[in-house]
Amino acid sequence: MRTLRRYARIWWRLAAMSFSETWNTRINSLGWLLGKLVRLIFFFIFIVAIFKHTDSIHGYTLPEASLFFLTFNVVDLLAQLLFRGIYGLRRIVTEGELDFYLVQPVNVLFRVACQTVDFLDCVVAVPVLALTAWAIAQLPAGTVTPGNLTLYILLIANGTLIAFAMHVLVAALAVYSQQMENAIWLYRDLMVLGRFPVDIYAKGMQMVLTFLVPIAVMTSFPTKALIGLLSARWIAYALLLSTVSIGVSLWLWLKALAHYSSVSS
Amino acid sequence: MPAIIADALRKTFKIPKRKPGLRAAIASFFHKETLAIEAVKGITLSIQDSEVVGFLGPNGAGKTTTLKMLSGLLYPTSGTLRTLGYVATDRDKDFLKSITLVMGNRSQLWWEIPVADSLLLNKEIYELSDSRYQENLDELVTLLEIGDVLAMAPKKLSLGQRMKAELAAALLHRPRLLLLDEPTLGLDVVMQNKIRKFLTDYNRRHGATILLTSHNMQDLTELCKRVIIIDHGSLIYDGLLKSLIESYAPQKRIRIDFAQAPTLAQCQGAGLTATRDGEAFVNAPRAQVPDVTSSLLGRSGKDLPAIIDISIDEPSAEDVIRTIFAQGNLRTRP
Amino acid sequence: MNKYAHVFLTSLKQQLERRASWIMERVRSLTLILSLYFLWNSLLSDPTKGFLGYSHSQMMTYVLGLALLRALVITSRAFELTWEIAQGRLSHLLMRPMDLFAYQLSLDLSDKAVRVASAALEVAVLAYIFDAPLFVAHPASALLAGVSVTLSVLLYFFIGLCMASSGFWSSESVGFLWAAGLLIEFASGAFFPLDVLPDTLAHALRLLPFPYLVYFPLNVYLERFSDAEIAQGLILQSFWVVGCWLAARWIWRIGIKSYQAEGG
Repeated sequence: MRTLRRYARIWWRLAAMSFSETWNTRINSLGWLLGKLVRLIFFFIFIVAIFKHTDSIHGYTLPEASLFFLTFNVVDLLAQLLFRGIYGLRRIVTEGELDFYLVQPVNVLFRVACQTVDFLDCVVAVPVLALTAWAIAQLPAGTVTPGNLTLYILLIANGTLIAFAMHVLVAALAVYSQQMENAIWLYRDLMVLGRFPVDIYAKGMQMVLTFLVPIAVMTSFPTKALIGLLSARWIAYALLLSTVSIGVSLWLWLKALAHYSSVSS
Repeated sequence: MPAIIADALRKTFKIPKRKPGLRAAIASFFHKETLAIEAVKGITLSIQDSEVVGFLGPNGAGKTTTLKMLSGLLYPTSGTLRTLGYVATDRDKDFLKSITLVMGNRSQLWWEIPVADSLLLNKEIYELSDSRYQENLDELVTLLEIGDVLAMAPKKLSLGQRMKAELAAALLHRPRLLLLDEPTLGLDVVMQNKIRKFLTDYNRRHGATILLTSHNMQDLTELCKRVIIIDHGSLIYDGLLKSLIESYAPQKRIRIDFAQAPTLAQCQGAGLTATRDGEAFVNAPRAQVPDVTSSLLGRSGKDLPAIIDISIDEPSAEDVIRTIFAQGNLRTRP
Repeated sequence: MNKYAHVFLTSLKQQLERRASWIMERVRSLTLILSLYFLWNSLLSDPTKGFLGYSHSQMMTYVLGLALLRALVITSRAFELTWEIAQGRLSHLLMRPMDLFAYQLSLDLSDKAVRVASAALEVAVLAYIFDAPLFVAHPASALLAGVSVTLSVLLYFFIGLCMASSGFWSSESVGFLWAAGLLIEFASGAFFPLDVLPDTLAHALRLLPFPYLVYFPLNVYLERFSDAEIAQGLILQSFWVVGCWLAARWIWRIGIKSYQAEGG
């Protein structure tokens, strides 16, 4: 408990420092923020506009299709808010900041992941959450039960955990190889596939997105659970996947740190 | 208890050996050829609490590697090492709270935001209470004269001010062991002096053990009684700086200032070498300096011109060490 | 050898060195195309029905064509200039006996060469794997589309220069440029055909130069315009190219003057 409180305080400090960094370049930050909003709004308009000409996307109604898109955004935002530091790994490794983290009494992975907290994403979260609430309210009466809703939130958290595992995996790779510090951007680019329900893709791709690069589990599963389309078996798979992937990625991270400590010069 | 005990400490790096080209890249995927580089070849040393010790050696001698092992950043390949009684690479929380690492070419400060924010972060990281934080901060601000620097972002500071801020961040938790890698790198002479004075004060006040590597000879002569010289990964000298100089520069130089320039014959007669008008010197073994001096004074105004002034110079540490590295060998523990 | 050709080749070599960023860029492009391809494929799964007047093959061709035009048209290194200006490093470009715009165009073209080659390969592979129904246009339509694409390349180049000039007046314009870039991509039809958007929005966008970047040339190829519309479009597109060229020249002249006045 004391440890938790201490880490919360450190996180808060880091967040405050990130905020003042963002504030230092507020004009620039405003531009980035605007871009993020433009992307969100245009894609949302696109989805709504499609439904002016059709009743469904692969059998999903407008609120359902919106929820897939919005849930993708929620998981992505959570990852950005919590693990943004991994995106700065390049600087952390090549400029030797990692050495400072290693001689300080704080968990190194925590420090790396939380070194920056992206406040612009906090702002974007406002319309995303509002639209999500709107989309959920649009679902036909009786679809959303307290159980479904709990499952939805649980699977979003589960998706964020998988996102965490993927971030840690990439971080481990970067620290191990002292290269590929930018590989985390690949994750973001792949995540884009989660904007639309996974069912639209060819069968082979669906398999890949469910088992290999589990973007479907992160972005599509929560919505499917909410509208009652996800069987207990798949829910169990999602939970198992996050547990295993976190276990494996943390193990690799420790390996990578040990390797770093034997090769860095 | 000694602050550091190292016994037969070795570090061998394996560096991947790879030919250029795609085929070699693929081949290396299956079978990695590596080249072993012995950065540190069995160093044994012991450093007492509150000592200030300088690490000396040419580039690539293994100084930084040793420092990194002592701080727990690197696993030793073999040998035993206890830093403050801990196995450094265990990264024990209490251990980490007792040490600090400062690297002259790297910064732990946040570049764009006021130094004070970085200090507050360290307050949380090292779990300092408000009162201890304030007390330590006040002391550092006074000693380092950085009252006006705290509110500024490192990117707006001069190199010297930034180094002071760096030290403040590194010492906020009042570590018992300071590992400093080139702490005066790139600083001007005035700032170098200030940093050295600060480190001396800090060592006196808190009895902290300080280990520093430096290219700057003055850092070593002013800060350290004891120096450790490493070359090619081996320890080649460990002892007092004074005895190093005494044993490697057994002679002192006696300089004489004459009222008028001595003739060549006069100089030769007294074993002197003329330098410029009215000045000459002679080298004498330490033990004979008084005799030689009095003999010279006795000849003043007789077979030598009148002597105005005599000074006896210790050869500079820098000269001595330069000679040592130039000769390339050194007896251990003279 | 012509000095601009030399710039082109040197920049080309440099790009072949940067494999990591190339891979990243390809993945980004590929995931976007895949997601759009399958979205439309699903919406047009009933081959008897079109969507907004697009047949299945027209829409799939639009998506694959969009991948090519993103590489060919919506690629610019002008934004590096913004950075150079902000860092006060523009002088070393100004001091050389080279036309800055021509120099920048050589750099852009080398970028485009690499991207188009990559994108063409990807599109071919995707079309083969997923057996994409491709729309084969009459050679005349293809030729007209080609003319329009050439104009699009110039149009985006000048728009990019106008945007990059913001560096003369603010060192914090990068974020806004990114946002504006995204907006232009949406407004040009580089994500989806503009017909999808609500009518008022679509009409408003048509008054801007952006639809001529992607939407117009693709629709010329897909033979969705009448001859009169094509003629009118090409004239307007040429008008925009000249307009943006003049605007870029004018704004850069002012910018450089103020840059030199500050002794940057």
